[in-house]
Amino acid sequence: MLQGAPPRGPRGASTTTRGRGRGGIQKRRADGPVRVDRDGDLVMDAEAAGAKRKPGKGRMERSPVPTGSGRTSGGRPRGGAGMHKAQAAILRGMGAQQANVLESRIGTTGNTLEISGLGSSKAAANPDGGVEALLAFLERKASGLDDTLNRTVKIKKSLKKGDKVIITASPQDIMEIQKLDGFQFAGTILSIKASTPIPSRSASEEKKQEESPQTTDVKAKFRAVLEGRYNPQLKLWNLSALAIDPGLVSMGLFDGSTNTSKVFPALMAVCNSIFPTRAAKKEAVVSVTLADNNLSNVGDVNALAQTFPDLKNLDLSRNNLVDIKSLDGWRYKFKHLENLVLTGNPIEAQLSELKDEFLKRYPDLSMLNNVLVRSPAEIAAMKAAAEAAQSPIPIAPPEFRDVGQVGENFIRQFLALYDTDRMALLTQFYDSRTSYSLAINMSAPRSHTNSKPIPPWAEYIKHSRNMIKITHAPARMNRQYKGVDAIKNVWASLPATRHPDLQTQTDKYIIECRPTQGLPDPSGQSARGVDGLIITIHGEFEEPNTAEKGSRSFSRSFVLGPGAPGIQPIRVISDMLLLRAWAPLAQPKPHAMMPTPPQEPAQMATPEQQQQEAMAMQLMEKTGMTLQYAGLCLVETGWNLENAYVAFMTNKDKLPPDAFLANVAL
Amino acid sequence: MANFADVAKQFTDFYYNQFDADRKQLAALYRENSMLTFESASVIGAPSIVEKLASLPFEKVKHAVGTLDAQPAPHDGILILVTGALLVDAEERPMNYTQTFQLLPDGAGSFFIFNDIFKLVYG
Repeated sequence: MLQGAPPRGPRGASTTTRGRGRGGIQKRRADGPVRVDRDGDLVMDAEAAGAKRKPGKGRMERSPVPTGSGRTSGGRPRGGAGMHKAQAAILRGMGAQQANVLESRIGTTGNTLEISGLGSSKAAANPDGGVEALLAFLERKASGLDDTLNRTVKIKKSLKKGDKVIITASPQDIMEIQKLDGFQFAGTILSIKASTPIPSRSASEEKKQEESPQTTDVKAKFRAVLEGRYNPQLKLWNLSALAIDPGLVSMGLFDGSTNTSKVFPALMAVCNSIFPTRAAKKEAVVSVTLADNNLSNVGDVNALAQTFPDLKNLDLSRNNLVDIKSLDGWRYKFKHLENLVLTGNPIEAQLSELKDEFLKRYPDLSMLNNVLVRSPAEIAAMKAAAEAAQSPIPIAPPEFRDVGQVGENFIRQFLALYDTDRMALLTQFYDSRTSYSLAINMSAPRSHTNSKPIPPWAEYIKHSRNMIKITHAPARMNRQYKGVDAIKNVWASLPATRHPDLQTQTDKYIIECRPTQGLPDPSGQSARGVDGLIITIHGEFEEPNTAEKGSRSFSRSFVLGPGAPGIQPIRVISDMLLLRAWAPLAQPKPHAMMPTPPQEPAQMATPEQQQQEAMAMQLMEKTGMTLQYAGLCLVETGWNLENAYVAFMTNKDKLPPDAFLANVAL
Repeated sequence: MANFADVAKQFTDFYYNQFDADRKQLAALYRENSMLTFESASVIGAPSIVEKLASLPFEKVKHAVGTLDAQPAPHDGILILVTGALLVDAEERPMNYTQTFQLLPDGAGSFFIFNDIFKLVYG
């Protein structure tokens, strides 16, 4: 909110326009009595006053009547509201955008009560000083006082000040609570009085001229403190050890009941005025240290996340953060955090177990307590995987292990000829023993974002050999086509196709290739069989001649082996075509997979692993190989960078094209 | 040979039921020279394959076989192409996958997996 409001300037700079020039609170009144602020909090005095106070009424009053609504009795006239009160008001106003943090944003006169006696009660020994117990007691008793009261009394805000607790509630509830004056609570007698009024928003608005010097003074002091702690070279804001900051201490902010959680929102508000936009903050503040603030929960400094959502480095050293719960306030914040330091906190001992949780919370996190927990490549891979499909199983780049470019050449010719001249294709690569079959998967899941109509399957269905559906043995046999002649008839009956160009539209394909052994030797010389390839192509094609001109997705598996001597160099032993409704293929990013040593438990990266990663990155940069191949190369050469490079130089001609980052085509 | 289609059907039924129930028990289907390629990561030998399967990043998994096609392969083997949908853990969106098996007879009247190639094919 403050970003939008002009910072409170020095006295003379304030405009006299109503509702202008006084920061956040005024801002929302600029357009009239608005009852809900942007946090959704009810603006108490606006509600109470809105109906009663006419615009302009009381503006000339020098001293506002604190119990303006007249609902509470015993309201003391405002007086002696010195520096302390002014500061309270300022803190409240400056932190107004952090409603959840700023408990001290107590409403105003008439809606607040001051309760004394808690300190001498038994509840004072509670961890929170008994405030919670007291509030519960007040709500319960007040609700129960009046049988005709068919609602629950609710205390909206509370602020503990020494022995006193100041509470805020709706005027109606205040009336009920006030009746509890003199009640016994945990062994003590409570005294409940209307709170010593602090200037209400409207009153302070009216009294602007009076208050400005103090406001300006406090703000200037804050600003001086903050500016002294900002390092523009490092883009670091040092907010460590605030409680012993001489400037803040001299303002009396850290004596008695006030603590970091009260001062912090105000500090953030001043940060907001120094760097008013998110972009400015992102540019100017990359790192923040909150070391030595005795924080037991980040909730105390929650405003940091709102003020600096784009922080990359955060130091929380030497606080009192005990477990992951103490950091839950920032669970969904700091999505760009790269470096988190928790040294000297009790939570430090659990970091190895909590690593995964931190990695999950902060997708960019690479350093946790000065230990590399995720390499840049891993972060990129994670993002790629998440973008690609939000897949629980990372999609790896296709594995293409060709032998002498046999697979590559086959695929190029196959795709071209299948679209243009299927008979030529049959002659070139198929023989009398080739098996061919096709199946249709009509239940393949498609993304709901893909609503492209599915062209009818009529031309294919009579050949479909999906054995989940076709259970009758003769039908299964009939739909397996063996030999060029049988295949020729089927292919002639299938619609013409147009496959995307393999050179220019590589993203339309996922092609895998790997060697296999034990294929029959057409020459009959090798009884134990010969080597060949298993190739799988995932892709799509159009049917340009059909009325729908629809597209289909396919997966096609081939087994290739050497052809009969003198007839074909290679032949297709098996060809299995699978069709499904069209859907775009999700492609992994080029270096989406880092070779991970098998069954290495996901622990903190050891220095050795870090070193290996660094070597793989180096080799990748040097050779242009993918990280995966660089890793493989290093594994094979015993993680010796020099040897790996030599091995690369001697073998680079034999490497498959997809070993390289510039993976233009197959 | 006449029966390869039935073998393929029985095999895939068994394989996916076992995979979904407890994939560590799949070791019996692989041999020393078997090769699994799961999302481009290749491992050889039954123990390594089972380790790889066990290490996959999901707990609960359900395969829904969409298509099954099989062809007789050399050495009385069977080539099987399966496509289907895979649901893992709490993920609500099923993933398309294709899996190619090359089965070989084990000499004792049964078959083992010689090649197993798994690939997710998103759409």
